[in-house]
Amino acid sequence: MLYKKLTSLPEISKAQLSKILNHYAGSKDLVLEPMLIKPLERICGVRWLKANNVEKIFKLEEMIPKSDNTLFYMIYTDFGTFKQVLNQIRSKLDPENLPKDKYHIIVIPKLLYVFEDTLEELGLSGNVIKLYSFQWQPVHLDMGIISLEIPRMYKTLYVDHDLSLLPVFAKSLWHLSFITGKPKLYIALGQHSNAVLKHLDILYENLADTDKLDSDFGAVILMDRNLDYPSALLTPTTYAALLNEVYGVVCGMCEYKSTEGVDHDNKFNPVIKKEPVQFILDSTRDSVYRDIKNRYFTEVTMVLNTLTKSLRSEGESSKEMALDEIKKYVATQLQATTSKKKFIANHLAAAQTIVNTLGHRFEDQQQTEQFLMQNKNKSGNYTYLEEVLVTENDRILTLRLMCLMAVTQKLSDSEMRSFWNKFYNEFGYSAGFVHNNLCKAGFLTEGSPSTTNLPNLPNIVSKLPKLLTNDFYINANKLKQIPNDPSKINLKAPTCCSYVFGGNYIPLISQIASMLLSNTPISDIKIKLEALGPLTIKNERGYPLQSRTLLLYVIGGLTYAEIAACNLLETLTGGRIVICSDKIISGNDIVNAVIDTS
Amino acid sequence: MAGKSSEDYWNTSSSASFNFDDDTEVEKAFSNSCEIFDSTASDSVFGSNIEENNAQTMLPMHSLVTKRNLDTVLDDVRIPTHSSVPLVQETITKMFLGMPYTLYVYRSLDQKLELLDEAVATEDGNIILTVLLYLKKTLKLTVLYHNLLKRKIALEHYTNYLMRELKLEELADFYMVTGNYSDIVYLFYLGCRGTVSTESMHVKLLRFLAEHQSKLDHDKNVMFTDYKNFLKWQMDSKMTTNSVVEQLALLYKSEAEKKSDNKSIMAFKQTFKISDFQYEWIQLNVLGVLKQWKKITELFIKPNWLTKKNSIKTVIDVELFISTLYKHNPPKEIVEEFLSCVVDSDISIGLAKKMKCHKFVIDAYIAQRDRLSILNYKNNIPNQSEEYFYAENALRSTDKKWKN
Repeated sequence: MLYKKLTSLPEISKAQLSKILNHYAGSKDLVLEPMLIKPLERICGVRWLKANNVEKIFKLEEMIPKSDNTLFYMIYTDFGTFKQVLNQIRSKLDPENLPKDKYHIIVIPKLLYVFEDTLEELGLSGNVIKLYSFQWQPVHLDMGIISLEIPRMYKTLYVDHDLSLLPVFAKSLWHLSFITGKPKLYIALGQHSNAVLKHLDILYENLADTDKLDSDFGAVILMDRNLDYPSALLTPTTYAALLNEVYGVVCGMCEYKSTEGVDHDNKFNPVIKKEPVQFILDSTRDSVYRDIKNRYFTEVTMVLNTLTKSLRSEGESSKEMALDEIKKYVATQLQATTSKKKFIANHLAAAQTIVNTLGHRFEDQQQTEQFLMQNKNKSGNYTYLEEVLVTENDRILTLRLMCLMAVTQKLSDSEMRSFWNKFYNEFGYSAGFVHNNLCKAGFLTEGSPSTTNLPNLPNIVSKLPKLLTNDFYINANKLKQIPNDPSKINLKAPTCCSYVFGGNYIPLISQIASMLLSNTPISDIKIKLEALGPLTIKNERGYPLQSRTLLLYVIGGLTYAEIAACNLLETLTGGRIVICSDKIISGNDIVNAVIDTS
Repeated sequence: MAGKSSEDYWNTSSSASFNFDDDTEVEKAFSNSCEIFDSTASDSVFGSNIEENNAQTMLPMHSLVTKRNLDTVLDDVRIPTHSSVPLVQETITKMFLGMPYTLYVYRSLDQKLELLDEAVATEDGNIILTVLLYLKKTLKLTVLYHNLLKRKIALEHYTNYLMRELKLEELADFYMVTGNYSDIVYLFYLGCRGTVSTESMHVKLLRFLAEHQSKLDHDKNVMFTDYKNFLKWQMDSKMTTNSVVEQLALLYKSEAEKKSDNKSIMAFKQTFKISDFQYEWIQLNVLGVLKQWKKITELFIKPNWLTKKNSIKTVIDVELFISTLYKHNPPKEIVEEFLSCVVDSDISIGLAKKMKCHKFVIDAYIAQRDRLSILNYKNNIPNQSEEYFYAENALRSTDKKWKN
């Protein structure tokens, strides 16, 4: 029932969108920011749009689309994109004869005051250009995974410290409570998560409360992304997570078209080719994916081979069928077999690409990450970092490992200096601001003497997350996140959530969920979590849980490794977990946010 | 005043400001409000008694004007009131809920700062920036800056706004006022967005350094100086690449193609502080792409005349070196030549197996007198191939003393 509710969320999004589109009665064209296309396909689809008087759909490009229809632009909340849209509309406007009701801009998830302000300054407010704010409902990507599908959230919140979109989270919970009811217990860990609870209170105090008397969820746990960086930065070992590492998954879709590739990169390193693939990471549509998504990677190829063999024998046996048997086979089985074949082919290609891309350094990387989690081999780890820096010719990968070291073992000043020197040499001085961004995001501290020249910015150090001290090991050990002997962790038939990182580390979010599901006394939970950041536990009478179904909400992006850990936890405890975030990310997205110049 | 009925008002005309007969009251009223009147001074600038002398000739108020009209005049007197301003907290909540509100009623600095503090307390960036923009419109920048110093979150939202709008001059001032020198680097990177040519990049960098170098810390200073030198080098040599090492790769390739000596490259390596690891890595890959296998062996294999056992001469880890070489598809002999230089036979056999250098594996096992391993390994060799027979021959030969 709960999953059905989550799968039906697009019905509400459609009602919201239809209210906006029907604000203008006539036929209209849509202009979509490209990044919006995939989520929108999941929410409404083309047929529904046509039924709502949409004639044509364009991609937002440099030039305004050639059309005389009324235009509805749909963009994400981003000032740059907004300006781009304004510029192309203005290029068509005759200042002496401004049209009415011809241009509309829908901003997702939230229209900001600066947008209205800019429009007003240009004299285009009112009837010339109309602005709409549209916060859709999260998309149900796969069993128990819901995502707001809003890009750049990590960067705005944790790198830029821009809180403009923070209220979106509370609103999504508020909306969701109209469908699933209001849980009795809320736990918020981290600065932003606490703000979300505060926002939620304002909404319930001033606007409508839910009409549902019972709650599907026993508790909501909110957590800030920056309280558990290792879960994003470590190399995952499960299939779905590795897909996101190697191909990049967008809105639950893994897609890669083969390109006329070059043989070597700009520094003459041989380039590893990727197999073209196209599939949706959704267990309900793809039974093969359901079987392998959370498996430890080396198991995946084996399972796929077994499946291929059983399909082949099925094909063999069909040859010996009598005519009516064949008819029946074609009518019922063949369709399923054909689509299964397609699924298997896709997954085999993807698995092959994962091996080719990561295989050559997988063991060294795992070893180093294990050392980092165990706080061992410090100088050896740094040597490995410098090796990766040169040999991989991949600044994302390099910075990712560096960040992981920075939040765990940390680098000495001289190591840091040597690293940056080589980094600029390899990747150019255009990355000279990255160090500052890393400081802002809390990975590094301002190590230079000039920090003392900052009397006007008090508390800058004390306000950074505690990860910056050696507390990482203390906290992680207190929460039993680091297995003593990773080699003893069963990776193939896992019984410990650390298998998602090869036995090296248990994600914080699943560890918190595990404490709740195993009825750990709330006072113990409090003591363990308090050290990590601001903590609020609301309405403790909801504990022990009245419903063993949890909603976990990570502010700033969630990884497939964390999802796999939660899925295992469900199997181990018999509890149910729905996990939600603004986007499903990998460590690469974290680093991209830091080196992004926009 | 509006609350009082005019009737009441008229009847209570003892109200201080209208008791014109009471001189002392008037004196007090004036001396309280301004200092130009001093009752003890005879030549006060406000000391003439013209008005008082006229008092006897004046008409009483009620015959002068009707109650209603006097009220109109009095209503026209503006008295500062606070009651008409909605509570800051209420306005902020309205903003959060997306309800209509106005900020223009908050005019005193106290009210504005209260607005700002309440906005920050909501942790809603949209509200924070809305209030900041209102403050920016209605306060002098120096006043605004001064008050932002103590409010870190507001300060960051304002900085983001300046960066997004590319108001670089204001941003520079802002950094100076707030003493945030470490973020000065953003000025340069925001300013050179979209700049393509090396020359204009160089000009921009020089301009930036002339203005801000003294405020940069040591590490940033070093970086920008290296950057400047590299841009200068590129301009002099008419080259455009994104990084020093990418440049090195191109230089090394053209030298290798010409088969000339690499004196100028060594100078380049030194000038730009390229590590041996970075340098050898480029050598290996460039020569690999160019298929100059002989050159690779010359550079990286060090003959030892005494022991006749050659060794690999590189700062790169040997396993990494050989597997990278292998990615360039070199002839088998070349791989085997390198494999034979590896001291640890476990490593070399492991590598050889991965690279399908069957003959090398067989020879290594022969040297170890390990018959069983050959027997096992034979299964991995394609039947009827040359290497397959090589293994068979080795196993068949009678002059070897196997250990198993």
